[in-house]
Amino acid sequence: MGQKLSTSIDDALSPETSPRTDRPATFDPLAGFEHGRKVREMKASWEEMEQFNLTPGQRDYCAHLLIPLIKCQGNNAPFAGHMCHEERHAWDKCEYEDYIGRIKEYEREKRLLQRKVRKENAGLA
Amino acid sequence: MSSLLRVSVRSIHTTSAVARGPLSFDGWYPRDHKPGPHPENEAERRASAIKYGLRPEDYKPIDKDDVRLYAGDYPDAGPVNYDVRDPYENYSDRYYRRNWGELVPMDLMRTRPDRFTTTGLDAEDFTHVRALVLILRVVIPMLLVSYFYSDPNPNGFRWKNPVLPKQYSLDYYRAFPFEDPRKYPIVNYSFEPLD
Repeated sequence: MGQKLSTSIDDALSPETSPRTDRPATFDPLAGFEHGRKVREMKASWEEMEQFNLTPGQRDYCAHLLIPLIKCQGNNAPFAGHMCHEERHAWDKCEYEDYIGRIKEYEREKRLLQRKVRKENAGLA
Repeated sequence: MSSLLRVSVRSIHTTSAVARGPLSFDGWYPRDHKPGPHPENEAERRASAIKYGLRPEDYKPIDKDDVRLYAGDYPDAGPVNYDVRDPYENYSDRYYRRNWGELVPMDLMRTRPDRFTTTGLDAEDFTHVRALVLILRVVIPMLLVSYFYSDPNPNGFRWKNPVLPKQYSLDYYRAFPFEDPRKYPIVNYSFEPLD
């Protein structure tokens, strides 16, 4: 709760350096990466996702782990809560790392904005 | 079966037979504080006084013929109640004007201060200003929350986590509702280097 509060307050008090959290990053994604960045690949195919009727929110970069989980749940119902621990853990871990990536994107955006403001102020002065 | 059923080993155990636990538990039990029979002799009076935390000379049991209050050896609290206690004293139980360890009168719940008064002076406690303060201390936080919640300024205070939106491989928003999302692919990058 402290992190959320401090983020909200800091961003409200300094709007020039606060990233907009309702839209994607504004800077070039490859800027500043000397060794480049790997492209995120979608490991689950559209047909598979259609077959399991995943909602649009579930069709992210972790869908290839959600589909085995759904299969396991279907096989072991109604005891899937006790039997599908590995598949569930794999999907949860993937979602967790995706969230960490979102945090990293926010931080990158914030630092690039701060750098931009610094350059503008140095240019004026 | 290709996979063995994973039944936890702990489901079969003899804990109830081998782990008996203690024979008695230290504690504060209500049965030790319940009223006993009406005291007959001096020794019983002393014991009852000590049980209720009173001095033996202050202990006065309730009359046996009092149908309203009689309960064995429970003492009579006397005429001193909420209305005649000092209003400015720093009580531990402010609502009943009682301190911790004091005798609780037998009819405390029946003659609570908010339902019963012996002096009639509590009518003076109501003033219109105090009633208004009670209302405003709920309404004003409500208004403040509504004001901050409905702020349209995009750079105003927002309760948010330090995260950017989730990344998807296709632009589902743009394709909604009738187009095929496969027409709008998105390239996303991770933070791993190419090497």
